[in-house]
Amino acid sequence: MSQQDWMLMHRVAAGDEEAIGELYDRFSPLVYKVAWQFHPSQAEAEDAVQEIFIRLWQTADRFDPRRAKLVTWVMLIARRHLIDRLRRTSARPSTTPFESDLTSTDEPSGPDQRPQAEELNARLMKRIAELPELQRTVIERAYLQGYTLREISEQLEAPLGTIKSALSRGLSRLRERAAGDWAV
Amino acid sequence: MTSPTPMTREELIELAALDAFGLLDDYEAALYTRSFHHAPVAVQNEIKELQAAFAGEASLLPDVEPDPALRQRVLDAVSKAIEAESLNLAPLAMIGRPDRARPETAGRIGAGASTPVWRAAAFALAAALLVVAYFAGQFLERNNMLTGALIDLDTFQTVEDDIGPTFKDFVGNPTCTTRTLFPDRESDNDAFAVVYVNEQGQAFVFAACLPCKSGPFTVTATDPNDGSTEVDEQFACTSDVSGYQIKATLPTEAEILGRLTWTITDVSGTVLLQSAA
Repeated sequence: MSQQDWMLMHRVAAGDEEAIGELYDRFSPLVYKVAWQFHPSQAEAEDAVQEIFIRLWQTADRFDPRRAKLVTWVMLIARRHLIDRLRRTSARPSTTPFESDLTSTDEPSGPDQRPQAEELNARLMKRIAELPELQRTVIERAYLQGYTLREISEQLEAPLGTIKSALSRGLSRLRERAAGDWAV
Repeated sequence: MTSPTPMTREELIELAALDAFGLLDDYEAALYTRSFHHAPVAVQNEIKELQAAFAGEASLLPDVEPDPALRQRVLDAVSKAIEAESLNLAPLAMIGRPDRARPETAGRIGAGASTPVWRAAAFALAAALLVVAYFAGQFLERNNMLTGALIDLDTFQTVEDDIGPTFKDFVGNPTCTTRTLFPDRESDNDAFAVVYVNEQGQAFVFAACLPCKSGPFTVTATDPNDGSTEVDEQFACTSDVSGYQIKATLPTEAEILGRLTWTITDVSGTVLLQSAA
Protein backbone atom coordinates (compact mmCIF):
# COMPACT_ATOMS: atom_id res chain seq x y z
CA MET A 1 0.00 0.00 0.00
CA SER A 2 2.79 2.44 0.85
CA GLN A 3 4.23 2.18 -2.65
CA GLN A 4 0.74 2.75 -4.10
CA ASP A 5 0.29 5.73 -1.80
CA TRP A 6 3.63 7.10 -2.90
CA MET A 7 2.61 6.75 -6.55
CA LEU A 8 -0.74 8.38 -5.79
CA MET A 9 0.95 11.39 -4.23
CA HIS A 10 3.41 11.55 -7.09
CA ARG A 11 0.43 11.80 -9.45
CA VAL A 12 -1.23 14.38 -7.20
CA ALA A 13 1.96 16.46 -7.29
CA ALA A 14 1.88 16.30 -11.08
CA GLY A 15 -1.66 17.68 -11.10
CA ASP A 16 -3.40 14.48 -12.14
CA GLU A 17 -7.11 15.24 -11.68
CA GLU A 18 -8.05 11.60 -11.21
CA ALA A 19 -5.44 11.18 -8.47
CA ILE A 20 -6.65 14.31 -6.68
CA GLY A 21 -10.18 12.90 -6.85
CA GLU A 22 -8.95 9.62 -5.39
CA LEU A 23 -7.18 11.45 -2.58
CA TYR A 24 -10.37 13.40 -1.87
CA ASP A 25 -12.52 10.24 -1.84
CA ARG A 26 -10.21 8.53 0.63
CA PHE A 27 -9.61 11.35 3.06
CA SER A 28 -12.33 13.98 2.76
CA PRO A 29 -14.50 12.49 5.55
CA LEU A 30 -11.62 12.75 8.03
CA VAL A 31 -10.42 16.11 6.72
CA TYR A 32 -13.93 17.51 6.94
CA LYS A 33 -14.30 16.31 10.53
CA VAL A 34 -11.06 17.94 11.62
CA ALA A 35 -11.94 21.12 9.70
CA TRP A 36 -15.28 21.21 11.53
CA GLN A 37 -13.49 20.69 14.83
CA PHE A 38 -11.53 23.90 14.24
CA HIS A 39 -14.28 25.78 12.37
CA PRO A 40 -17.65 24.46 13.51
CA SER A 41 -19.83 25.80 10.72
CA GLN A 42 -20.50 24.19 7.36
CA ALA A 43 -19.38 27.17 5.28
CA GLU A 44 -16.10 27.69 7.12
CA ALA A 45 -15.32 23.99 7.31
CA GLU A 46 -15.89 23.65 3.56
CA ASP A 47 -13.62 26.61 2.81
CA ALA A 48 -10.97 25.06 5.01
CA VAL A 49 -11.30 21.69 3.26
CA GLN A 50 -10.74 23.37 -0.12
CA GLU A 51 -7.63 25.09 1.18
CA ILE A 52 -6.34 21.86 2.73
CA PHE A 53 -6.61 19.94 -0.54
CA ILE A 54 -4.75 22.73 -2.33
CA ARG A 55 -2.09 22.47 0.37
CA LEU A 56 -1.99 18.69 -0.11
CA TRP A 57 -1.37 19.17 -3.80
CA GLN A 58 1.41 21.70 -3.04
CA THR A 59 3.14 19.35 -0.59
CA ALA A 60 2.42 16.02 -2.27
CA ASP A 61 5.98 15.55 -3.48
CA ARG A 62 7.25 15.69 0.10
CA PHE A 63 5.28 12.62 1.20
CA ASP A 64 7.66 9.83 2.19
CA PRO A 65 5.93 6.49 2.84
CA ARG A 66 8.93 5.25 4.80
CA ARG A 67 8.44 8.03 7.35
CA ALA A 68 4.66 7.92 7.79
CA LYS A 69 1.48 6.41 6.43
CA LEU A 70 -0.56 8.55 4.09
CA VAL A 71 -3.36 9.11 6.59
CA THR A 72 -0.84 10.51 9.07
CA TRP A 73 0.61 12.82 6.43
CA VAL A 74 -2.78 14.05 5.25
CA MET A 75 -4.00 14.76 8.76
CA LEU A 76 -0.74 16.47 9.70
CA ILE A 77 -0.99 18.81 6.73
CA ALA A 78 -4.67 19.40 7.55
CA ARG A 79 -4.01 20.23 11.21
CA ARG A 80 -1.09 22.51 10.40
CA HIS A 81 -3.19 24.39 7.89
CA LEU A 82 -6.09 24.73 10.30
CA ILE A 83 -3.83 26.00 13.06
CA ASP A 84 -2.28 28.54 10.65
CA ARG A 85 -5.79 29.55 9.61
CA LEU A 86 -6.79 30.07 13.23
CA ARG A 87 -3.71 32.17 13.84
CA ARG A 88 -4.41 34.27 10.74
CA THR A 89 -7.88 35.04 11.97
CA SER A 90 -6.62 35.49 15.56
CA ALA A 91 -9.51 33.42 16.78
CA ARG A 92 -9.55 30.17 18.68
CA PRO A 93 -12.44 27.83 19.17
CA SER A 94 -13.84 27.84 22.65
CA THR A 95 -12.71 25.25 25.15
CA THR A 96 -15.97 23.40 24.64
CA PRO A 97 -16.24 23.74 20.90
CA PHE A 98 -18.70 20.99 20.12
CA GLU A 99 -21.26 21.53 22.84
CA SER A 100 -21.48 25.26 22.37
CA ASP A 101 -21.16 25.53 18.64
CA LEU A 102 -23.40 22.69 17.64
CA THR A 103 -26.29 24.24 19.47
CA SER A 104 -25.68 27.76 18.22
CA THR A 105 -26.36 29.33 14.84
CA ASP A 106 -24.42 26.95 12.62
CA GLU A 107 -25.99 25.34 9.64
CA PRO A 108 -26.28 21.56 9.95
CA SER A 109 -24.27 19.58 7.38
CA GLY A 110 -27.14 17.17 6.85
CA PRO A 111 -30.70 16.75 8.04
CA ASP A 112 -30.04 13.78 10.30
CA GLN A 113 -26.53 14.58 11.41
CA ARG A 114 -27.07 17.09 14.22
CA PRO A 115 -28.54 14.79 16.90
CA GLN A 116 -25.99 12.06 16.20
CA ALA A 117 -23.13 14.56 16.10
CA GLU A 118 -24.30 16.14 19.35
CA GLU A 119 -24.44 12.78 21.06
CA LEU A 120 -21.02 11.65 19.89
CA ASN A 121 -19.40 14.99 20.55
CA ALA A 122 -20.92 15.07 23.99
CA ARG A 123 -19.36 11.65 24.60
CA LEU A 124 -15.99 12.95 23.46
CA MET A 125 -16.27 16.02 25.68
CA LYS A 126 -17.31 13.78 28.55
CA ARG A 127 -14.25 11.59 28.01
CA ILE A 128 -12.05 14.69 27.93
CA ALA A 129 -13.73 16.01 31.06
CA GLU A 130 -12.92 12.75 32.87
CA LEU A 131 -9.20 13.15 32.29
CA PRO A 132 -6.93 14.47 35.05
CA GLU A 133 -6.99 18.27 35.07
CA LEU A 134 -3.61 18.90 33.47
CA GLN A 135 -4.22 16.37 30.68
CA ARG A 136 -7.65 17.88 30.04
CA THR A 137 -6.35 21.43 29.89
CA VAL A 138 -3.43 20.54 27.65
CA ILE A 139 -5.63 18.55 25.24
CA GLU A 140 -8.16 21.36 25.01
CA ARG A 141 -5.49 23.92 24.27
CA ALA A 142 -3.17 21.91 22.00
CA TYR A 143 -5.41 19.42 20.24
CA LEU A 144 -8.61 21.43 20.03
CA GLN A 145 -7.40 25.03 19.97
CA GLY A 146 -4.07 24.75 18.16
CA TYR A 147 -1.79 26.30 20.77
CA THR A 148 1.82 25.11 20.63
CA LEU A 149 3.21 23.17 23.55
CA ARG A 150 5.56 26.06 24.29
CA GLU A 151 2.63 28.50 24.46
CA ILE A 152 0.77 26.18 26.83
CA SER A 153 3.90 25.75 28.92
CA GLU A 154 4.07 29.53 29.30
CA GLN A 155 0.34 29.91 29.93
CA LEU A 156 0.34 27.27 32.66
CA GLU A 157 3.84 28.12 33.92
CA ALA A 158 4.73 24.44 33.78
CA PRO A 159 7.86 22.79 32.34
CA LEU A 160 7.63 21.89 28.67
CA GLY A 161 8.38 18.22 29.42
CA THR A 162 5.41 18.06 31.81
CA ILE A 163 3.10 19.51 29.16
CA LYS A 164 4.41 17.09 26.56
CA SER A 165 3.89 14.06 28.80
CA ALA A 166 0.42 15.22 29.83
CA LEU A 167 -0.68 15.62 26.24
CA SER A 168 0.80 12.33 25.12
CA ARG A 169 -0.79 10.41 27.99
CA GLY A 170 -4.10 12.21 27.63
CA LEU A 171 -4.34 11.42 23.92
CA SER A 172 -3.45 7.76 24.54
CA ARG A 173 -6.04 7.53 27.30
CA LEU A 174 -8.73 9.14 25.13
CA ARG A 175 -7.98 6.73 22.34
CA GLU A 176 -8.14 3.73 24.66
CA ARG A 177 -11.48 4.92 26.06
CA ALA A 178 -12.82 5.54 22.58
CA ALA A 179 -11.88 1.98 21.60
CA GLY A 180 -13.68 0.79 24.72
CA ASP A 181 -16.80 2.73 23.74
CA TRP A 182 -16.89 1.17 20.31
CA ALA A 183 -16.40 -2.30 21.76
CA VAL A 184 -19.47 -1.88 24.02
CA MET B 1 29.20 20.18 16.18
CA THR B 2 27.90 17.05 17.86
CA SER B 3 24.56 15.46 17.11
CA PRO B 4 22.20 14.84 20.02
CA THR B 5 21.72 11.24 21.12
CA PRO B 6 18.90 9.60 19.15
CA MET B 7 15.70 8.96 21.10
CA THR B 8 15.07 5.48 22.48
CA ARG B 9 12.18 3.30 21.31
CA GLU B 10 10.21 4.28 24.43
CA GLU B 11 10.72 7.98 23.77
CA LEU B 12 9.73 7.54 20.14
CA ILE B 13 6.56 5.72 21.18
CA GLU B 14 5.70 8.29 23.86
CA LEU B 15 6.01 11.19 21.44
CA ALA B 16 4.44 9.38 18.45
CA ALA B 17 1.07 11.06 18.84
CA LEU B 18 2.58 14.52 19.29
CA ASP B 19 4.69 14.03 16.18
CA ALA B 20 1.67 12.78 14.22
CA PHE B 21 -0.35 15.86 15.21
CA GLY B 22 2.54 18.24 14.49
CA LEU B 23 2.72 19.36 18.11
CA LEU B 24 6.50 19.06 18.55
CA ASP B 25 8.57 22.18 18.09
CA ASP B 26 10.98 22.38 15.16
CA TYR B 27 14.03 21.16 17.06
CA GLU B 28 12.23 18.21 18.60
CA ALA B 29 10.51 17.32 15.36
CA ALA B 30 13.90 17.23 13.61
CA LEU B 31 15.35 15.09 16.41
CA TYR B 32 12.32 12.82 16.28
CA THR B 33 12.70 12.32 12.53
CA ARG B 34 16.41 11.70 12.84
CA SER B 35 15.83 9.18 15.65
CA PHE B 36 13.08 7.51 13.64
CA HIS B 37 15.49 6.93 10.76
CA HIS B 38 18.08 5.51 13.17
CA ALA B 39 15.55 3.09 14.68
CA PRO B 40 15.25 -0.55 13.52
CA VAL B 41 12.69 -1.14 10.79
CA ALA B 42 10.40 -3.02 13.21
CA VAL B 43 10.27 0.02 15.51
CA GLN B 44 9.70 2.32 12.53
CA ASN B 45 6.76 0.17 11.45
CA GLU B 46 5.37 0.12 15.00
CA ILE B 47 5.51 3.92 15.14
CA LYS B 48 3.97 4.32 11.69
CA GLU B 49 1.06 2.07 12.69
CA LEU B 50 0.57 3.91 15.98
CA GLN B 51 0.65 7.34 14.33
CA ALA B 52 -1.78 6.23 11.62
CA ALA B 53 -4.14 4.95 14.32
CA PHE B 54 -4.02 8.32 16.09
CA ALA B 55 -4.35 10.33 12.89
CA GLY B 56 -7.27 8.28 11.59
CA GLU B 57 -9.09 8.06 14.92
CA ALA B 58 -12.49 9.41 13.97
CA SER B 59 -13.87 8.99 17.47
CA LEU B 60 -11.74 11.95 18.58
CA LEU B 61 -13.41 14.10 15.92
CA PRO B 62 -16.94 15.48 15.50
CA ASP B 63 -19.29 13.14 13.70
CA VAL B 64 -20.13 15.20 10.63
CA GLU B 65 -19.96 14.29 6.95
CA PRO B 66 -19.12 16.53 4.00
CA ASP B 67 -21.83 17.56 1.57
CA PRO B 68 -21.49 15.44 -1.63
CA ALA B 69 -21.37 18.67 -3.68
CA LEU B 70 -18.16 19.66 -1.91
CA ARG B 71 -16.15 17.15 -3.97
CA GLN B 72 -16.50 19.06 -7.22
CA ARG B 73 -15.89 22.39 -5.50
CA VAL B 74 -12.64 21.08 -4.04
CA LEU B 75 -11.49 19.63 -7.37
CA ASP B 76 -12.28 22.93 -9.09
CA ALA B 77 -10.41 24.88 -6.43
CA VAL B 78 -7.32 22.67 -6.75
CA SER B 79 -7.51 22.89 -10.54
CA LYS B 80 -7.64 26.69 -10.33
CA ALA B 81 -4.66 26.76 -7.98
CA ILE B 82 -2.66 24.54 -10.32
CA GLU B 83 -3.56 26.69 -13.27
CA ALA B 84 -2.61 29.86 -11.38
CA GLU B 85 0.76 28.45 -10.37
CA SER B 86 1.36 27.17 -13.85
CA LEU B 87 0.86 30.67 -15.28
CA ASN B 88 2.93 32.18 -12.51
CA LEU B 89 5.84 29.83 -13.04
CA ALA B 90 5.89 29.79 -16.79
CA PRO B 91 5.63 33.18 -18.45
CA LEU B 92 7.29 31.62 -21.50
CA ALA B 93 4.72 28.91 -21.51
CA MET B 94 2.47 30.56 -24.05
CA ILE B 95 4.21 28.22 -26.51
CA GLY B 96 3.53 25.29 -24.30
CA ARG B 97 0.28 25.81 -22.45
CA PRO B 98 -1.69 22.64 -21.96
CA ASP B 99 -4.46 22.32 -24.48
CA ARG B 100 -7.37 20.87 -22.56
CA ALA B 101 -9.21 20.02 -25.74
CA ARG B 102 -6.53 17.57 -26.79
CA PRO B 103 -7.21 14.02 -25.70
CA GLU B 104 -3.64 13.32 -24.59
CA THR B 105 -3.79 16.09 -22.00
CA ALA B 106 -7.31 15.42 -20.81
CA GLY B 107 -7.40 14.51 -17.14
CA ARG B 108 -4.11 16.27 -16.42
CA ILE B 109 -4.09 19.81 -15.22
CA GLY B 110 -1.53 22.52 -14.75
CA ALA B 111 2.25 22.29 -14.89
CA GLY B 112 2.34 18.52 -15.26
CA ALA B 113 0.69 18.66 -18.67
CA SER B 114 3.63 19.64 -20.87
CA THR B 115 3.23 19.77 -24.59
CA PRO B 116 5.57 17.99 -26.98
CA VAL B 117 7.30 21.34 -27.63
CA TRP B 118 7.93 21.69 -23.95
CA ARG B 119 9.28 18.18 -23.70
CA ALA B 120 11.47 18.70 -26.71
CA ALA B 121 12.98 21.81 -25.12
CA ALA B 122 13.71 19.86 -21.94
CA PHE B 123 15.24 17.06 -23.95
CA ALA B 124 17.45 19.50 -25.85
CA LEU B 125 18.58 20.96 -22.56
CA ALA B 126 19.37 17.52 -21.20
CA ALA B 127 21.41 16.74 -24.29
CA ALA B 128 23.32 20.01 -23.98
CA LEU B 129 24.05 19.31 -20.34
CA LEU B 130 25.19 15.83 -21.15
CA VAL B 131 27.70 17.16 -23.66
CA VAL B 132 28.94 19.72 -21.14
CA ALA B 133 29.25 17.06 -18.48
CA TYR B 134 31.22 14.64 -20.57
CA PHE B 135 33.63 17.13 -22.10
CA ALA B 136 34.45 19.17 -19.03
CA GLY B 137 37.78 18.45 -17.37
CA GLN B 138 37.98 18.30 -13.59
CA PHE B 139 34.97 17.47 -11.42
CA LEU B 140 34.80 20.94 -9.91
CA GLU B 141 35.12 22.67 -13.26
CA ARG B 142 32.48 20.33 -14.59
CA ASN B 143 30.07 21.30 -11.86
CA ASN B 144 30.70 24.98 -12.43
CA MET B 145 30.18 24.60 -16.15
CA LEU B 146 26.97 22.70 -15.56
CA THR B 147 25.75 25.45 -13.30
CA GLY B 148 26.76 28.12 -15.77
CA ALA B 149 25.09 26.33 -18.63
CA LEU B 150 21.90 25.98 -16.66
CA ILE B 151 21.82 29.60 -15.56
CA ASP B 152 22.54 30.98 -19.02
CA LEU B 153 20.05 28.93 -20.95
CA ASP B 154 16.93 30.66 -22.21
CA THR B 155 14.96 27.57 -21.38
CA PHE B 156 15.66 27.95 -17.67
CA GLN B 157 11.96 28.34 -17.05
CA THR B 158 11.35 25.09 -18.84
CA VAL B 159 13.61 23.27 -16.43
CA GLU B 160 11.93 24.94 -13.52
CA ASP B 161 8.55 23.79 -14.74
CA ASP B 162 9.76 20.25 -15.04
CA ILE B 163 11.63 19.92 -11.80
CA GLY B 164 10.21 22.57 -9.52
CA PRO B 165 10.94 26.14 -8.45
CA THR B 166 13.40 25.14 -5.70
CA PHE B 167 15.81 24.26 -8.49
CA LYS B 168 17.01 27.87 -8.82
CA ASP B 169 17.70 28.19 -5.09
CA PHE B 170 20.37 25.57 -5.40
CA VAL B 171 21.71 25.67 -8.94
CA GLY B 172 22.05 29.45 -8.93
CA ASN B 173 23.48 29.56 -5.42
CA PRO B 174 27.26 30.07 -5.47
CA THR B 175 27.61 29.04 -1.82
CA CYS B 176 26.37 25.51 -2.52
CA THR B 177 28.86 22.68 -2.53
CA THR B 178 28.39 20.18 -5.35
CA ARG B 179 29.06 16.51 -6.01
CA THR B 180 28.73 14.90 -9.39
CA LEU B 181 27.43 11.35 -9.80
CA PHE B 182 28.43 9.32 -12.85
CA PRO B 183 27.62 5.86 -14.15
CA ASP B 184 30.17 3.11 -13.84
CA ARG B 185 32.71 3.31 -16.69
CA GLU B 186 31.54 -0.02 -18.06
CA SER B 187 27.88 0.95 -17.88
CA ASP B 188 26.08 1.95 -21.05
CA ASN B 189 23.71 4.40 -19.37
CA ASP B 190 24.11 8.07 -20.26
CA ALA B 191 22.71 9.51 -17.06
CA PHE B 192 24.44 11.84 -14.66
CA ALA B 193 23.45 13.81 -11.59
CA VAL B 194 24.71 16.70 -9.52
CA VAL B 195 23.96 17.06 -5.82
CA TYR B 196 23.89 20.62 -4.46
CA VAL B 197 24.13 21.24 -0.70
CA ASN B 198 23.57 24.74 0.64
CA GLU B 199 24.95 26.32 3.80
CA GLN B 200 21.98 25.15 5.85
CA GLY B 201 22.58 21.51 4.92
CA GLN B 202 19.59 21.40 2.56
CA ALA B 203 20.31 19.41 -0.57
CA PHE B 204 18.94 19.13 -4.07
CA VAL B 205 19.72 16.45 -6.62
CA PHE B 206 19.54 17.33 -10.28
CA ALA B 207 19.59 14.37 -12.67
CA ALA B 208 19.53 14.00 -16.42
CA CYS B 209 18.79 11.05 -18.67
CA LEU B 210 17.74 8.67 -15.91
CA PRO B 211 15.74 5.74 -17.29
CA CYS B 212 12.40 6.87 -15.84
CA LYS B 213 10.77 3.48 -16.32
CA SER B 214 13.28 1.98 -13.88
CA GLY B 215 12.11 4.30 -11.08
CA PRO B 216 11.37 5.14 -8.40
CA PHE B 217 15.01 5.86 -7.71
CA THR B 218 16.73 5.87 -4.36
CA VAL B 219 19.34 8.48 -3.56
CA THR B 220 21.66 7.66 -0.67
CA ALA B 221 24.56 9.39 0.99
CA THR B 222 26.71 7.40 3.40
CA ASP B 223 29.68 8.38 5.48
CA PRO B 224 32.41 5.78 4.85
CA ASN B 225 34.06 6.65 8.18
CA ASP B 226 31.29 5.29 10.37
CA GLY B 227 28.91 3.72 7.86
CA SER B 228 26.10 6.09 8.88
CA THR B 229 23.45 6.90 6.31
CA GLU B 230 22.75 10.61 5.99
CA VAL B 231 20.29 10.34 3.09
CA ASP B 232 18.10 7.45 1.96
CA GLU B 233 15.17 8.81 -0.03
CA GLN B 234 13.12 8.00 -3.09
CA PHE B 235 12.26 10.13 -6.07
CA ALA B 236 10.78 9.64 -9.50
CA CYS B 237 11.36 11.23 -12.87
CA THR B 238 8.90 11.96 -15.62
CA SER B 239 11.23 13.41 -18.21
CA ASP B 240 14.87 13.52 -19.21
CA VAL B 241 15.56 16.21 -16.68
CA SER B 242 14.50 15.69 -13.11
CA GLY B 243 15.13 17.25 -9.74
CA TYR B 244 14.40 16.36 -6.18
CA GLN B 245 14.85 18.31 -2.97
CA ILE B 246 16.23 16.00 -0.33
CA LYS B 247 14.24 16.01 2.89
CA ALA B 248 17.07 15.10 5.25
CA THR B 249 19.27 17.88 6.54
CA LEU B 250 22.92 17.14 5.93
CA PRO B 251 25.89 18.04 8.10
CA THR B 252 27.32 21.35 6.99
CA GLU B 253 30.99 20.62 7.70
CA ALA B 254 32.94 20.62 4.43
CA GLU B 255 35.07 17.70 5.60
CA ILE B 256 32.05 15.44 6.16
CA LEU B 257 30.30 16.57 2.98
CA GLY B 258 33.45 15.89 1.00
CA ARG B 259 33.75 12.30 2.11
CA LEU B 260 30.09 11.28 1.70
CA THR B 261 29.51 8.58 -0.88
CA TRP B 262 26.44 9.32 -2.99
CA THR B 263 24.58 6.73 -5.06
CA ILE B 264 21.41 6.61 -7.11
CA THR B 265 19.88 3.17 -7.54
CA ASP B 266 16.89 2.06 -9.58
CA VAL B 267 13.85 0.18 -8.27
CA SER B 268 15.70 -3.17 -8.49
CA GLY B 269 18.60 -1.86 -6.40
CA THR B 270 21.03 -1.57 -9.31
CA VAL B 271 23.46 1.30 -8.80
CA LEU B 272 23.03 3.67 -11.75
CA LEU B 273 25.16 6.57 -10.58
CA GLN B 274 27.71 7.14 -7.88
CA SER B 275 30.01 9.87 -6.71
CA ALA B 276 33.71 9.68 -7.36
CA ALA B 277 35.83 8.54 -4.41
